[in-house]
Amino acid sequence: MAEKNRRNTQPAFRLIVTALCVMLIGAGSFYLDQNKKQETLRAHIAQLQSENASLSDSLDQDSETLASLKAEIEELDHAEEKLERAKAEYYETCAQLEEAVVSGNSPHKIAYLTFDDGPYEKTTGKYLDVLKEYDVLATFFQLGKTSDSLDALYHRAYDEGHTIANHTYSHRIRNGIYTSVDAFINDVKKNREFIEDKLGFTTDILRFPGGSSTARSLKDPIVRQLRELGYGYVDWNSATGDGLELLSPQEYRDNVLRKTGNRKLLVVLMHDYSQNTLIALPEIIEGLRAQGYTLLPLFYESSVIQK
Amino acid sequence: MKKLSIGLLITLIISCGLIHSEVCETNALRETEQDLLLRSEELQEQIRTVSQNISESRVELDQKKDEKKQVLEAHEIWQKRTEEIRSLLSD
Repeated sequence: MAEKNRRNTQPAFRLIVTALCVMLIGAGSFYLDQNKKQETLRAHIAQLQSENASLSDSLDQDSETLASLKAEIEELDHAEEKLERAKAEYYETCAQLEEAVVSGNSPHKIAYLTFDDGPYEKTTGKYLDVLKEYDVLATFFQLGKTSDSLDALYHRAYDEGHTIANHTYSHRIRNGIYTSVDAFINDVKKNREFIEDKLGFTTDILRFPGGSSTARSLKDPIVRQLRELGYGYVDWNSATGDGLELLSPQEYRDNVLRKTGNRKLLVVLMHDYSQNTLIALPEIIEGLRAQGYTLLPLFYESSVIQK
Repeated sequence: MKKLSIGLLITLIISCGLIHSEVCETNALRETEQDLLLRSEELQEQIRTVSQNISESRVELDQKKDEKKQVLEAHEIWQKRTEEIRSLLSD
């Protein structure tokens, strides 16, 4: 009976065993296939990781380049402010040099070349040419004058780095600016506004037409009001004499070079309408330099500016 | 035969467990691959955008340099003047 049962179940077991074997072979094959897929995926993932790392580096570099370009653009947006700072730094350094000269801590001397009453259509441009050729910055005490060609001269003098200062609008010495404090101050204000409109900056240095002594008894009250307006004023301790009499270029030159008195700070008065001063100017520059003078433009902080 | 069947069945069950685990691993790898592909696309898009911004910025910079040429030159001149005065100060 048992033998009979075994004979009956054997084919069924054989079938099951065969089925199980087939299934196991299928499972093995599927397992191997999965392994192969995983290998392929792992290789692709490694490649993608490497590519992404490279892309990420590239993005970082590009971002840095962009940031640097933006910074450069922003810096350019503030170029005018940077220029103003550079000018301020220059004048601060000039002030340090002047202080060292005055205190005897520097072997140098300083000469401030100043030109009054301009600009003049026929001559001021030529003065600017000479100053440019000799790489000299000077100070122009300008009046209020209007014409297209004069406009260009105001701008040229300013753009080339010279100090533009106030010499009153009208320069009317007789029956004009010295008739009262108000008359003088109004003329100064008018010229200040004139220069502001023309050049976009506010002057803070003034020279009295004829010098401060011309104001006589009005000088002190005028100076008080000038101080309130933020002005300092300057006279001179050297001059060609071109405002007083017509002399030869050599005499104008000698008036400056032979009378420096070895002063540490020299303020030279000239007028940019004078043809003969124009002729003498190169020798005046060379002569002053030969005497050890450094030629600078005037600045408000200078000790020669009276405040 | 019965024992063999049982043995095979147990082996099959274990194999199924292993296969399940392998399938899970494969799926996880596929997800990682998809994530990386997406990241790659994102990075490429970002690089395209940044490159375009760089080109635009270069054009803007050139224009600005041209506009501010005089100011830049003047700045250099003033710096040079300051250096000259500084050299006098150190005498």
